[in-house]
Amino acid sequence: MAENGDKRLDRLFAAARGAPPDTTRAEEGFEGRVAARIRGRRPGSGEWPLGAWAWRLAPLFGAVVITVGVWTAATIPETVTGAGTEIAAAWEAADMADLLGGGG
Amino acid sequence: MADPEPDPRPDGRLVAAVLDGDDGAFAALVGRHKRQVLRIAARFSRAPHELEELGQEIFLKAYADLGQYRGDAPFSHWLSRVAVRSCYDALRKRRREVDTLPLDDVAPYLADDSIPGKKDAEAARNLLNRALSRLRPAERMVITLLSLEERTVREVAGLTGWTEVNVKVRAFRARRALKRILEEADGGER
Repeated sequence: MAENGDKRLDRLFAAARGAPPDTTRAEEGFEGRVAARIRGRRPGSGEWPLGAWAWRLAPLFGAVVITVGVWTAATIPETVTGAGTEIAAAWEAADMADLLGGGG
Repeated sequence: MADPEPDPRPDGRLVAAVLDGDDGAFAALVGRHKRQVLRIAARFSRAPHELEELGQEIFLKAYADLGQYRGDAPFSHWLSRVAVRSCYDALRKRRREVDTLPLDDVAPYLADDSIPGKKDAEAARNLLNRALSRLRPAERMVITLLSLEERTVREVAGLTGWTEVNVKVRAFRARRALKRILEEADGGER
């Protein structure tokens, strides 16, 4: 059975070797198309892929994000928290005054 | 239109010229070796557009890595290595895209035990391509180079960068898997 499978496989390979792939159509003008691809990949050709530029600009984007983060942390310290605390304290004082004064 | 006169310079001189910025020399190298490269690529391509794309990728890789060619072996050997490794990368990428071609429409060929004539060679190649598409990329690479391209184990090891033992083990596994695939297709047909 195994021998039969081996023979069959060998026969199939032998037959397939009798029909090597025909590449004549692909060969026509192939050099020109390869040359065009090489020119297209060259910097300054105006055909550089967007991804390549995105990678080149990545450090700049990173620096901008870090700068904005640091600036935000430095310039918005307690304004929001402080205002909130003051309002809460004012409400607390008003409640206390009402309680002590017997109001409400 | 007649083909331009082929560049008479040997490969080594053309490589040196390319490295000096002469793109015309690279076009000459492409023209000289395109059949060899496209033939390898065709073993791993499913359609003409894939052959074109893979062939171009191989030469683009060769162009990018040309500085690594030392000149201690024929340029065609170095280029074959680039081609085989590019094809292997393409197979691995394609594997992730999931594709297995059905065997049903070519399975009847299996039932015929007669020695196939020339007109059957195309059918045999189609059937093999479909069966090969179900193998792992490394197994497909090895069995294609050994059994279709008729390379030796040592040559395959040199082309792929794998050890000879590794090549033999992968070839054994590939044949075992192929036999199983073909038997299953044969059984399904009956």
